[in-house]
This record gives sequence, C-alpha cells and structure tokens, in this order.
Amino acid sequence: MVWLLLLGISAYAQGDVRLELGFAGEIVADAWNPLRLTLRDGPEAELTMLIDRGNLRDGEQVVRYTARLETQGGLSVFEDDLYIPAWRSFTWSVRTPERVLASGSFDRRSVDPRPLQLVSADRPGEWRSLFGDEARVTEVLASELPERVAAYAGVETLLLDGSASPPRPEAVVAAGAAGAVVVLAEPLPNPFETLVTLSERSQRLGTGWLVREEAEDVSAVLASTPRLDGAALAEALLTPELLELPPGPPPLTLLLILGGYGLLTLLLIRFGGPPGFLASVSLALLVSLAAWSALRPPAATLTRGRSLSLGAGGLAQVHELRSLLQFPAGEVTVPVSAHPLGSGAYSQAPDGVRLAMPRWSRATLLVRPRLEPARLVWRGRNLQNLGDRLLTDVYVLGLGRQASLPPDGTLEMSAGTHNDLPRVYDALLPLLPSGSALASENGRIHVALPEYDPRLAGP
Amino acid sequence: MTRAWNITADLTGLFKATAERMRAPDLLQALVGYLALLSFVLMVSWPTTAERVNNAWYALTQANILALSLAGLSFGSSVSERSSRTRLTTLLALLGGAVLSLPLEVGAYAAAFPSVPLGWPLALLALDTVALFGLGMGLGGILTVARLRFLLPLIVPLLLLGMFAFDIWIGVPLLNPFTAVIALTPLHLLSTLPLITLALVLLTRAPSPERTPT
Repeated sequence: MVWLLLLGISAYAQGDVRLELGFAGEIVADAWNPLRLTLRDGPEAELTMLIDRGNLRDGEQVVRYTARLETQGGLSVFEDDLYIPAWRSFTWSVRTPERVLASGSFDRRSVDPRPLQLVSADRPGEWRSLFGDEARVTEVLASELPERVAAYAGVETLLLDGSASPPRPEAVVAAGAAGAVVVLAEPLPNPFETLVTLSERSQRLGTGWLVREEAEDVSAVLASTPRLDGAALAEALLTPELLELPPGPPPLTLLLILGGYGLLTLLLIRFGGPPGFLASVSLALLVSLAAWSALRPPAATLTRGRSLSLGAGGLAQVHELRSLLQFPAGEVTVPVSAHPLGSGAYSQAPDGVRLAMPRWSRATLLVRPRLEPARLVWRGRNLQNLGDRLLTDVYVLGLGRQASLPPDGTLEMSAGTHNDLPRVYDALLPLLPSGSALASENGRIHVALPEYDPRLAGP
Repeated sequence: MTRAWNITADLTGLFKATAERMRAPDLLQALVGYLALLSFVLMVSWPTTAERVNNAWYALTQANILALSLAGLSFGSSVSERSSRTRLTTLLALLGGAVLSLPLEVGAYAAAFPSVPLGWPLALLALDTVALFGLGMGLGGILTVARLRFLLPLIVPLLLLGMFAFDIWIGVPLLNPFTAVIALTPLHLLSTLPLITLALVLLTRAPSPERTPT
C-alpha cells in the first residue's frame, strides 16, 4: 500500500492522463528510458516533450519528442522508449488542438546518469545493503516491467526474490539481453516456475546474465558477474572511415583538365570558324555532363551504417550506428528511432528522428537497441553460423584469426594470427571478454560472447 | 515552306556571324581572360584534402557572374552605336562565352552540392548578361549624346560598384548579381526584367548615321 502511494508520487497523474518515465519515476540520464502514457476516455491528443540539453557555452539545445496518441474510448496506453540526455530543463504536455490535458516538468536536480538496480520484492529494503551506498536502488512492480530491450539500457541489475508477483518471462529476457544481471533469489515459489525453466544456474543471455542463486549468495554473484558496457561498444563502431568525405579529383588533375579544355576550346573557336564554334559548344556540353557524373555525390545525404550484434544464449542485442554526411543544408529525417551522438538540437518521434544539418556536415546516430536471434553462437568449443550468409574475418579473443564461416557451417577452433584485423575490431576488442568470437558480414559485426559461469571466472 | 527556309537561313547566318564575332580579337582576348580567370578561381578555391568542405562553386559562380556582368556592360556600351546586327552578334557571342564556362560551373556545382538549384545560377548568368548588355547599350547611347564616351572605361566599373553599393545600402540583393547568384532571389529577377526589355528594344534600334562614332 505504502509502495503504491510512493509510486503515485513518482509518476505524474493529472485527471485522466498518467505519464510514467523511467522505472518508478527514476530516469537514467544519457540512456534510453521506458515511457508509458495512459489516457482514460480522452480524445486524440499529442504528447510533446521538450528537453533542453544545452549549456552555458552552446546555449539552448532543445530535443523535441512528439507522439500522436490514438484513442478509441476507454483506456489507451502508449508505450515507447526515449533517449533522455542530461537536461537543463525538461517539460512535457499532452494536448489536443483545443486544450492542454496535462503537463509537467522534471527537476534539473534529478539528473542522474547512474544505472538502476531494480528490486522486485515485498520487502525491498532487505536487499538494499547488497548494493553500494552510491547505488540507485529502485523498487519496481514486476507486473509493470516493460518487454522492450531498449527500456533496460540504464538498468544494471534486476533482482527478484519470489516474494512479489512474478514478471512476464518476456520482460526478464529483455532485461537480461539488454545487459542487466537478472538475479532470481532462491527459493522461489511455484508462480516463478516458468522463469526457473528459462535459466540454468547461471547463463549469459544476450549481453546480460540470468542467474539463479540462493538468497545468501546473491551478494557474491552481483560482485563477480562481469558486465559489458553496451553504450561504449556501440560508440566503438564509429571509426574514421564512416565519416570520410567522398574524395574529389586532386588539384593537379583538375588543372590539367581545365588547361586542356580551355586550350582546345580556344583553338576550335580561333581556327575552326562556325564549325569550330559549334564543336566548342558541343564539347562544353559533353564535358559538363562528364563533370556532373564524376563529381556529383550520389545523394544529398550519404548514409553509412554499421551494426553490432552481441549475442549469447540464442539471443542477440543489436546496436546500430548510422553516419550521415549532409551536402546541402537542410532537415534530414531518418526513419528509425535513434539519437545523435554529441550535442545539438533534434526532434524525435516513435518512428524517426529529424535533424537540421548545415551544409557539408556530419552526424552520427545511435539507433535504439533491438533484440534478434543470435546468428553466431558457441556450440561447446565450436562456432556455428546460424545465418544464411558467409561470415568473414572470424576472430576469437585469446585464440586469434579463424577461417571464414559459411552459412549453417560449424568451425572448430584453432590458434591463429592476430594480424590484419578490420579496423573496427581494434576498438571493440578491449571492451569484450576473453573468449568472445567476432565475425563480419556486410557492415554488421557479430559477436558470440562466451557463455561461462561468472562464479568460476571471477570478477 | 519558303518562310521556314528563310528562317533557317537567317538563323544559320546569325550563327555564322556570331562565330565570326567570337573570333574577333577583342572578344577572343576577353574569352581567354575569362576562361583563365575562372580556372584560376576554381583552382585556388578547390579543396586540397578530402577533409575540407568544397566551397569552390560559391567563389566560381560569383567570379563568373562578375566577369559576365562587366563584359555585358563594357561590350554593350562599346557597340551601342554599331549596327543592330553587330550588337546582336556581340550579345550572342557573350552568351556563347557563358556556355563555354558550363563545364567549370557545372563541375564545381556538382562537387559543392549547394542547396540552390542548378537552373538558378545558369539562368541568372544568361539573364544578367543580357540585362547588363542592355544597360551598357543605354549607357553608351547617353554618353554618345553627351559626347562623354571617353568616360566609358571609368563609368562601367563605377556603375557596377554603384549597384553593389545600392544593395548594401537598402540591405536587399536587388540589383547586385554577385549576391543574387548564390541564393534564390526572385526580387533580383524582377529588377533584371526592365533591363532585359531595354536590351531587346535597343537591339532592334537602328543607329543614326550622324551619331555613329568614327
């Protein structure tokens, strides 16, 4: 009852509109956060969030999020994941063309980038001491946990002790795959049977872990389980070649072309008479066409992309990075839910992001993480390609380079060289645990994480 | 049929006369200088590394329209008292020169990828050449009547500078082709229409024999 009262304070409910951002009102700055808006018997409305992430030096930099709320009478629920940068001011409103249904703001002092330690238990205070003094321990209702992997980007731990109602298995899988350590503290009652069958004692799932442990040993597990820095891995995808401008002709080549063209034109006009003049005009048109096709970039916006699929336990979390090169100044709309790296204003919506870009500028977008079946998996000491495309540049951290992996093929491990690796591997390898396997396929890098027991491996 | 044949013959004759006009020393020298100027501007503004933004088109197209405006004014005023055929072939020769600059203009535009459509600078290069040629013819006629033709080398650049100064003074790119060419400026287009009309009127005007300079 007290818990419900607390939840009522951390969420924002005005009349028939209720907005919940983050977990139990706890927002993780500079991370994706779950958003849930409930509208009861309301008309069609629009949710607008204005986040000013500027600073004294750069001034105001507003991130605008808008979402159309379709209602059909009764209770309407809108859910999404929203990347929330550290803010100077943060306001929201739900409005129809005629009136504001609800509005509110988040205090600047509540900006906190620390990850969350979620606890779902009847007496969550008992678990508080497991985490450090600086940890953000947040109590959650298991039944309200989202089932989207991006929602858990700011979550480090999800602890379930069986005293409260069990969450849906999809929510547990999403949390684990997103990189959180999901701890099921035993003994667990019967309603948790589905979750128990999900996991062995301890297994890697996506980029996180699903661990079943006796209540008294949970502390040791939390301390020893290695965690991956998903955000750093995603940013490591950005290598200089993604931002390179298309090369133009060097000045010397240009000089030779210009000199040749000018000389030929003048000779034709001076000595060719009317046919020479006609020929020089034709030559001008031909050279113009050739110059256009040789020098014109293929599009006003060049998009290059690279993605990283981090998998274990059959599931993979996919981080995707898109690099935009904009030639003429203008607004660029990218039809994916993403956020740009670095500073600057932009607009976000559930189905896309819009940026105002100056001419000849670059922007890098990090797409919202998503879940997919893993394509590169460990089968004992062998690697298996479950996809239908050839995987090249196979490399195992600790063993070295391996042979390419054909579709549906299996590869036995052997010691290999550590030379001539793709440039992007150099940035990724320091962030991955020993025993990780990497492979490339058309701009996508697949990583099969080692599925060992963290208690055996140590911290 | 005969009429169509006559028109074709007239156009062929005009083309031949324009080609001959382009071979004349004054225009050929101007063309050499014009192509050299544009090549120089393109070379110095071309990025030397792939990391640099390509702004070459902005410098090139401004140099181009400046050169054509100056040529239009100068040649317009110098041939104002010549036969209408000479005036017409001189104007067509100037436009021919503009066509010969197309590879530089189009190449620089393609590489720089500005937001203004390609048709705008190309149209403006032609229209401003005609408009300033008309203005030049009017200026030449006035100075001939006032017996002040000797001031032409001074007044032509001063007139162009005056157009720039006027635009700076009013704060709108109205007369100045230099600024108008790099951004869509319909107001500038409006201001050239009277000058183009003047050019068309003066092109058909027969010079009075007593005013023809010796």
